[in-house]
Amino acid sequence: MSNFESVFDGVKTVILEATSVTESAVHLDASIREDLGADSLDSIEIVMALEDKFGVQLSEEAAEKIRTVNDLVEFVLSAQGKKAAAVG
Amino acid sequence: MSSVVKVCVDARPCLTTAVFDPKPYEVDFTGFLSNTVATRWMEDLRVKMMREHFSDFDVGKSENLSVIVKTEINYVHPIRYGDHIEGSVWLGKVLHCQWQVRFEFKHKTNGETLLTGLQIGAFVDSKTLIPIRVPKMIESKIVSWITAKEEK
Repeated sequence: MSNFESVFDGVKTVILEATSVTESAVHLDASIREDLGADSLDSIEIVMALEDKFGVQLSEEAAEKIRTVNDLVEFVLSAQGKKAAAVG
Repeated sequence: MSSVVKVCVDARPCLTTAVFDPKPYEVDFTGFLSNTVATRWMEDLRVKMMREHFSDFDVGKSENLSVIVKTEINYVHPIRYGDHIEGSVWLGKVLHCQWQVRFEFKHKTNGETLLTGLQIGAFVDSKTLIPIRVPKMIESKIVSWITAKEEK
């Protein structure tokens, strides 16, 4: 499983815990607000859960730009990259 | 330990109960309890739960500021003046930045469910009003409750 797929799986798990949608609704193009019905509190919940799950820090500015599931995956991957660069 | 704490809905942690008797001024012209009373009963129960189970948690501290963001009430069966009601509240879920409490009001004599409800709240920064993580004290309390339950 690629890192992208593994992060997508983690993102999917977090979304399923924070919202009441079914697994089939969580695809990369799904809008977090419109398709998954997440309100602003759910969105913050998802970001905090991702920070804990992946041990990364998502900046407030970054979190504000997140619109789709793919954005969440990309932000986690980017945060992981920054973390690895800081450690290396 | 992950900061997310999920609680099984049927386990009813921090269960708190109280008896409610509708007052004459809470009943409307049809003889049924006014639907506005349910929210007050829910508030009474939630405050009682906090006093009984989180007495050492200072809700007045600015870092413990919590707000209700959603209330749901299902009016399952009408309540009349003279009915004796037993209300229950318990912690439904504690997530990263939000908590959920569930309510049930039953007829004390026949056990019929009359009202059910849900409140969702969040801890917020007192200056920015942006949701913040659930305070560690609340999280630890729930984790110890789950651990004790699992050990039984």
